[in-house]
Amino acid sequence: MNLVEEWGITLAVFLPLLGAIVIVLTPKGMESIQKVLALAATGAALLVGLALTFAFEHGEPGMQFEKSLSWIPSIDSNYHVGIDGISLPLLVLSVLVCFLCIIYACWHIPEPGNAKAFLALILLLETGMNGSFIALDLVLFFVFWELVLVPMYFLIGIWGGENRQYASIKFFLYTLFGSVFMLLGFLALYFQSDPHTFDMLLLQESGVLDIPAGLASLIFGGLALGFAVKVPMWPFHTWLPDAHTQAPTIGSVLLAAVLLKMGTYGFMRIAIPILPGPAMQFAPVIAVLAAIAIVYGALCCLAQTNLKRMIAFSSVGHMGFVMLGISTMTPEGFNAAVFGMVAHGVVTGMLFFLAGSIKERYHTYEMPELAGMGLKIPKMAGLLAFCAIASLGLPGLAGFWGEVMALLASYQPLEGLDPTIFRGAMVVGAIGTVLTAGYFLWMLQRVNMGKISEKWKKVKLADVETLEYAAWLPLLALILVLGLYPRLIMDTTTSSVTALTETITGRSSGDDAHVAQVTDH
Amino acid sequence: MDVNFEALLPELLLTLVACGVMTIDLFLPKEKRGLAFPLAFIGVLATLAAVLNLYGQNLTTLDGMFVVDRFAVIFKIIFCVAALLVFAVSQAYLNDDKDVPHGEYYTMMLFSLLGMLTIASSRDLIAIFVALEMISLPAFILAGIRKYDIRSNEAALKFFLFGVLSTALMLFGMSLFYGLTGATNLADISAGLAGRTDIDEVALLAILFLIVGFGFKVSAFPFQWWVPDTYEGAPIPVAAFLSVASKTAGFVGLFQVMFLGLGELADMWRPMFAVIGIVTMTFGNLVAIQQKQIVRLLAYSSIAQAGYMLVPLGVASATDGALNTQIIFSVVAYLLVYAFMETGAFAAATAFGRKTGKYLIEDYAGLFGRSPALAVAMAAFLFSLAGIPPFAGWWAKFVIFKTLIEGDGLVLAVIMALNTVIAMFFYLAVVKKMFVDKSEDTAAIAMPRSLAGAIGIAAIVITVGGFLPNLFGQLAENANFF
Amino acid sequence: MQGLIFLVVAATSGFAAVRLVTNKNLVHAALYLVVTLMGMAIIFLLLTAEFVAWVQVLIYVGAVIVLLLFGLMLTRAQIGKTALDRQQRWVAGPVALVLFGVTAPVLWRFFDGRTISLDRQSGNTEALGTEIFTKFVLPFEVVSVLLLAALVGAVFLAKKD
Repeated sequence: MNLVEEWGITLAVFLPLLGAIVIVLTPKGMESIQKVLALAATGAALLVGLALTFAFEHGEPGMQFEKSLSWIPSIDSNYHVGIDGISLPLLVLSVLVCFLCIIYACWHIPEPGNAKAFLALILLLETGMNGSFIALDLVLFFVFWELVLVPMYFLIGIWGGENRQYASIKFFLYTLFGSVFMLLGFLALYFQSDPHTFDMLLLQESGVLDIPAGLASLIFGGLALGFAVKVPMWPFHTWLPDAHTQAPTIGSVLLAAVLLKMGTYGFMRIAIPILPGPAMQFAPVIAVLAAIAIVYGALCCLAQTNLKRMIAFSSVGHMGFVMLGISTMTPEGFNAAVFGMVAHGVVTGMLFFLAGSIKERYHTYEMPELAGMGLKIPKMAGLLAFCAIASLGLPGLAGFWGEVMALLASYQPLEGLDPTIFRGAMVVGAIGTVLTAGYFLWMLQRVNMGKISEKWKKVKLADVETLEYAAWLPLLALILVLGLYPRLIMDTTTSSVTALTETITGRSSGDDAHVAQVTDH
Repeated sequence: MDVNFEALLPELLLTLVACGVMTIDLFLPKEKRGLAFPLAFIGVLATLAAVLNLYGQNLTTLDGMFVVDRFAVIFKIIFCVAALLVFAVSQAYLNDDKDVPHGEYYTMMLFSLLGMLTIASSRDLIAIFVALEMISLPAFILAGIRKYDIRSNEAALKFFLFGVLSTALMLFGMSLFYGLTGATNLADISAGLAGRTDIDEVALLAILFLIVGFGFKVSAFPFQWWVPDTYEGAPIPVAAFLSVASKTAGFVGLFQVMFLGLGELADMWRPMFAVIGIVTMTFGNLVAIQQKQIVRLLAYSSIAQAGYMLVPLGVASATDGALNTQIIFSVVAYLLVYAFMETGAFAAATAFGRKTGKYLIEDYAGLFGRSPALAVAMAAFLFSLAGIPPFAGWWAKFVIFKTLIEGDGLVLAVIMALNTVIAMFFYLAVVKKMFVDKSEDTAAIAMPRSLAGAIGIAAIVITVGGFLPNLFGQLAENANFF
Repeated sequence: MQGLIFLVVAATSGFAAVRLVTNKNLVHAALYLVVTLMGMAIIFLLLTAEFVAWVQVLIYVGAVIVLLLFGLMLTRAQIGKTALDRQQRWVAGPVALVLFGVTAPVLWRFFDGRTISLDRQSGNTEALGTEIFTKFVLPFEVVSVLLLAALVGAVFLAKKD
């Protein structure tokens, strides 16, 4: 167990990288060996993730398994990692989804093939994603954050759909645009802190109290821009539908399940705790944008005929609920956000898997052509119905808790925030849930029901296959378990998010104490 | 007067090597002319060993004109390593291009390298000027070495005319400083300028003239017009040599003159570099987007890179030594990384163009299917130039950003940040061609071992350096005067 | 007296320099170059730098220009009007004028009235020799290598394989 506590999170990050290097070194045509290697690397990372979950002291608010090594002394940056109740669920989600993606890849590598490159890129991507969730040093975080760009670009650009060139470049440039400003924000934090540091925890504690209010808002704006593009918050979302629609199935799954969470995680780990003052100022803006995103996402979904694009737009709405939860700054809101992130990862990831498998059979995402799927491949249709219902937030399934808690939390935001705005956002969000239910049910009606089109009447289509089940069952089980027993996540997160809210309130009142101290001297 | 020959050993050795290669080549039969490469390569290796031997020492000789300190040694290392990489690339190139004579080619490169080693140690305006000429003159000939090719002639002529004009102006600027202080030694100039209040106009003018000369060398706007044509017309390894080693030499001279000689006048030259840096990077990036030819694209990209390395001088201070140290650190760090990624990119372009004779970006379509390793290496170099992790370029950009913000240059930092996004357009365009597009030609690209070795080493260095940037950081930290 | 001579010489060589670049006949241009360089030599003399002055006459006027003229006349280079005119003088001219217009007054204002004493012996041959071979031995040696490089390069570019 000591190994896990000392090096567990580091292993979870670098085992996939090691796997990627080994895969690159294998000769070309050895596809099966490469698949086994990829399975081994992600499987090992998953095992480490599970071991971490058991070794983790649930209910402790602080960082655990912390590790700090000297990394780049010339710029005061350390390899400082650790996890708390907020990052653990996301880390576990990431290692799980990556493992399942590799299983799915064993079933099917999209055109134009080349298993070696495909698997190595997924593993590299996993390193970046896992690393973002454990980094406690801003520079380290930045490197992991940017590390996902290159593999994701290639996944979309090489293995994507017809419009992949446009989508991949758009994805890359949008994210890069956001992240350069995030980087400038990090550097500004460094020079505003005393003593200068890139360490998130130190910045949170000793922090940047003396920062002038205008500058603090500017820095928060820079950070928020970087995170908001990644989430994506309305109006920075336009890269998402293209990237999602064009990405290969596994790319969409990873994008939805893990990548988007890096943005919301960035808000909770960096922007809010380090700059609580500006965070309180910006909170109503975030709430309004989140409410817009919810309704906007739902309306866009209603307009889609492409199944995958519809799921992509539903992500905009779901991430809107997460951001709404965060904007309340209350423990309930944060809890809702973390839960919403995991639930969205599981449910939407699953939906993208299904969309991909449906495309494999029908060679299209167009809903009118898919009509009558319930008759043709009933098991697949059943799973689609299950996930769609989970996604629209039916009580008892995973999607429910995140949304309803976010709405509840926004009834009573943290003291100091104007409740009217948040209640307005709550009402809009509630309308959004109705619309969400509407478009998902309409989708089911168009896809599962209806008459089988002429084209497919005579053709025999395979229903869900074994490897697909292997990749999906854990997610399906999680949808059910999280829906029935939400404490599975809440027990881990509650103490950490409460501490987060205390940081905010403590620091706002702490400001006064600090001022008093200064005058004492 | 005593001369410390130990301090001069690398330069003396390299002179011997250059003359040796030149002489031996004369007596070689025609089919054995290839021998110049191993001779030159081993000679530079020996020089590098002599340089490393001086690491950590502080030697001054020839009345303070020639100084061996960490700053000088680190740059000499960069020059030698860049030269070795360029030699390895040249070997493959020269074997294909029968028009280029091996002996003269390597001799000229060695002479140019000698000038670079000298400038890193020169602490006197006359020595710096002569060393710059020593770098440029062989480079003019190298640019035109394919003398039966009209493009090569154009390259050499343009380079020559721009070079002569700008160095003449620089010499005029130097003479003005001699007129102001009665000294050519940088330390004496600095002492002579201290506290002078009557010199504003003349000093401003003289600085402008100096900037013309160095601006030409580092290809800063508006002295960059020769760059694309010269790079395109010259043999590609020569273009790599110009864009890496020669540009670095320009920065060495710039640092020495600006910080050691004219540190007192920082308030005067700071805004000039801020403006020049910003305009240079923006111009380079915007024009690079429209390029269709890989060498021209790399040329404009190298102009933009010069801009990134110039802006930190735009926050320099006349009094704050710590800030100036940070500025030198960041640019040296950038140059270290730049030496590998830029040479690597040119080497990959050589590898592709050498057999196919194709230099259009269009021709790179489907390279990933043809030669995956080459495509991946090229992509790594381009991403590194763009500053994307996990390649070392991210760190180089990072330290520049850090310096800018430390020096209250937030506006400069924001403009540079926007520039990195613009630059991504054209780097991605090449990557897209190689990985996303398909080509009818599916033949793999063959390359000799020396070329593959150069590309491989550069790729490994920038990848490992991306994860462990301190490898560069430690070296760069040592390179300062203060 | 000195000032007067200087003015005359400077004006003459300045005029010759302008004609040098505007003249379309290469031989004439070379002859104008002789005038300019001679003017420089006289200015060196006025500064009591006899050695430099004579070197200027010997090397530039005596050797370089003569070689240049030989080269022009012996090879079949086109001596008359050439077609290589890029018509950029309308840009170059104003730039040069502005440069002159800015530089000249500044230098005038600053250096006007400042004198250096000419009895410092700095121009004499012995002092110059000592300086070159002690203090400035590094640039001197570098220049010698530079000339070697130039020689090799020139031979390479000129020879026919």
